Amino acid sequence: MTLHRLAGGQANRRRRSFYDGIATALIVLAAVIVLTPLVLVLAYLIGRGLGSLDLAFFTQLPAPAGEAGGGVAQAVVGTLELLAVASVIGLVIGIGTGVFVAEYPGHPLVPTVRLLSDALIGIPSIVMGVVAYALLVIPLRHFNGLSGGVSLGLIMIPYVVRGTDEVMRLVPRSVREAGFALGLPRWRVILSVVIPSAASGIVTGAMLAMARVAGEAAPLLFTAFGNQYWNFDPFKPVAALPLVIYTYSISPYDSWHRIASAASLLLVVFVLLTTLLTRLVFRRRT
Amino acid sequence: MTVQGERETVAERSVEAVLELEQVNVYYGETRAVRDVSMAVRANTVTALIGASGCGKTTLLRALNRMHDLTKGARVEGRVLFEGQDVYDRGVDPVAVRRAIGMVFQKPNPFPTMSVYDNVVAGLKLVGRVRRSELDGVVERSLRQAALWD
Repeated sequence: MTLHRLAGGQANRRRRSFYDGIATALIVLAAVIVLTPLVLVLAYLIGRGLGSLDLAFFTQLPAPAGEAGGGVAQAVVGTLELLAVASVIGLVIGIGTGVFVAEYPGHPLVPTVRLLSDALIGIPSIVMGVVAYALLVIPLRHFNGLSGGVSLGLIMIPYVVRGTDEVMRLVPRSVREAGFALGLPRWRVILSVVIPSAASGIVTGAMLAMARVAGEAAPLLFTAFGNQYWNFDPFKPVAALPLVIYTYSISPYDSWHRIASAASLLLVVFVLLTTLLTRLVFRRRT
Repeated sequence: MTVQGERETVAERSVEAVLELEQVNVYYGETRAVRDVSMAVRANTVTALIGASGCGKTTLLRALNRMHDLTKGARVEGRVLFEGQDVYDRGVDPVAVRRAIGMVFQKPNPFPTMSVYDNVVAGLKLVGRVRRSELDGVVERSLRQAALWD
């Protein structure tokens, strides 16, 4: 009797498998909708840009408008320069703040810092550009690479803080206590025990933050400004791939459009590779 | 020195209590986990603490080297005298207490990011007075004593 009820009637079972089928189909459909833009963008960029992604792209300066050939070597290097400056600021301040928030939960400043850091994530990147503009462009009276790097660094900070905070709190109590039981002061426990345990997570967070800002164009428009020539002086305008994409896409020249597509492809591949590599490397280790 | 002589000195020294507990109470929030424990631990002897699971053995032990300082809501009352000095006195550095009173955990508790070698010498290295040349010997001796040397 009971068993019979548990098994359910034949009609009941048919109805359930019907709803099950519908639910599965909806979920799969949702996943496909999420993935479609990514696949379409990649396919489009590969189709339009792959042909222009040759050696000259990485080694030559831009050709004059309308002429074929040329590359955007200065922007590839410029983006790396900007990321380097951004990382120094974003990682030092971000990891420092993350460690503070995670390791001194009793400190009266922590709730405020955590709240502000989370609020910072929601601030549009162009506003961070304005901040860097006010701090470094106006006093120097001209656009410069340093201000661009600073604006990207400011965007990175809250991501790094949150990443560091979360992985540090995952380190089990017992591991910390082992350190304290050896008679280590708190700073030594944090530095020699907790941070090494959380290192892979901290690096992952840092890489994701870098990937996040690598494609930013808005804050660079009025800070790094862009440059058609080589420049290694951080106090002069510096080129960047997102700026190339912006300028070249709205230009009237077809050759420039192709270069913009190639630059987009390079950025997307860079971001995808960074994300995938950090995941692969650290999945194996943990 | 003969074995006999050595035994006598051990016996003499052990008369003195290194650790004295006076009316020790440990609270977790409102819960009183350890109630009025007074006891003496003599030097150079092995003292065992026996009791049913969950009766507060570990809680009492953690009170001895101020590990409860790290637990939110935990509070220790009473006095824990180590060589006559109350470890809970104002001005006593809990880090110094933990260097003098070591602790081995119930569960093995290795540092996950260090090698076996580094785990063995972690105490020496992190506290910071070692000669590199001595470390290898320490590691081998420690691992042999624990029957882990292979």
